[in-house]
Amino acid sequence: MTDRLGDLIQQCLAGDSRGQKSLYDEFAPKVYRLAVRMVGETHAADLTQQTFLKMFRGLPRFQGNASFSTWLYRIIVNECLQHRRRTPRPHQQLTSNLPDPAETTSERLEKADLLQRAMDGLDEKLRAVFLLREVEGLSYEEIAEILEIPAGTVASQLNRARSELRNYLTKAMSE
Amino acid sequence: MTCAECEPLIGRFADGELDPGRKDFVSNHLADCPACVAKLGAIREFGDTIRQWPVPVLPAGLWNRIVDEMPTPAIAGKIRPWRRAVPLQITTVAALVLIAVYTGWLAFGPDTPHIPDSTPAMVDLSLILEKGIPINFNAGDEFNFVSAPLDKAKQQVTFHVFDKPQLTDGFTAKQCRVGCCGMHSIVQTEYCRDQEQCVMFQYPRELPVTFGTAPVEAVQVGEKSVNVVQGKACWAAFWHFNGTAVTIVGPRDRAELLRMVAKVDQSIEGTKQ
Repeated sequence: MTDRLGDLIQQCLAGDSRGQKSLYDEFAPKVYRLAVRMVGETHAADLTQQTFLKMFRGLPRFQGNASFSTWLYRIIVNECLQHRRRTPRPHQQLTSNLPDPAETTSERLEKADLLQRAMDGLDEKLRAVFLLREVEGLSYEEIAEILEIPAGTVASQLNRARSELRNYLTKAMSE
Repeated sequence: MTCAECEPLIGRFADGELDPGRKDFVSNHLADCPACVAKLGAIREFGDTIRQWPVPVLPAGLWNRIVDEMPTPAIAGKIRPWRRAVPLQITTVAALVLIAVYTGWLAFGPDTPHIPDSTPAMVDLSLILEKGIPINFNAGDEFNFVSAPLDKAKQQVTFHVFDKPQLTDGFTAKQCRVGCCGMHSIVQTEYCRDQEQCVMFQYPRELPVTFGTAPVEAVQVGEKSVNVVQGKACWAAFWHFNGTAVTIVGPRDRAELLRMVAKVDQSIEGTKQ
């Protein structure tokens, strides 16, 4: 933990509103970005809000055994997973969730758009692992700590996520 | 190495998570296998593509929404309704010392063989603010507190010290003691007014203090931002001046506390280190 982050946490514990705002400014963009990628923009702000409320309330019990960012990521990931459980969507098979052929203009077949669609169909936990690696740039060990799973499981879930994404894209591009 | 053996390792290879031995095996295989190179390229392309997506912009007002939901006024910058303060008791001060001792705040000094962990303990003042546990105030003596005249106390520490014998509203210094917490010093001054007491702690700001869930209010006193804590048993204030932290516990109402804060802070401001 950096001295600055440690100072901010101490300020928060002392009830310093400026310290709390600084901590928010430091981490909210990452938390919100992950929430948007996990659940979409509609609910991302609500989940970010819940995450920071839980963080501030839990800060006196934060032991520092994990890094602060790991702890915060764990909260937002759990919030997103719980949100998806509360508002289940019909399970989407990646291979049957292709865009309507009538709409598959060359623009719609851009890989970015397809990747977004492919990710929408990923299992939530696979998506979490994939996003923590590819968007947040976290190591397997950090992801394992956040999700409280073995690092080997992180590797296998990443493989599975990438395989499903590749299969989706391959099929979509061939149609 | 075959493609079947290589494929499960390509992801780890792309992520830089392979040990050197297996990394070499994969590298050698990739040198002669266009199919696995294509899989590696796809994995890298996923990452490159997703990182090029527009970065979501935080919604305006999200912080205010969080503030509105926070339970303490310190977060919200709001002031909770004034609550009737319970008359002070001497035991309030004693409880503070006991809790501080218990949490490791008032530990043995560096000249004793029992120097504690250098990491300061968190001082939880919530219990004393809410209940005020009746204990013996002298419990702190065994933790290396030594009495010192006010004007001498500041010579024994390395931070600013308020050393006036008169506080406000008739509170007069009863005794001043200097103690140690790890490698840090603490000046504790007890002020009395008839049967009422309050205590002021002055210490390096590195020593953390928390007030639990007691309502905390960020208040501007002069040019200084001060955290005011409302307990059921008494009030407390906590603020910094450069490297010095000051905590006052015990005044019976908020206005009285703020007068103390102003006087102390003004005097410390004028003190040369």
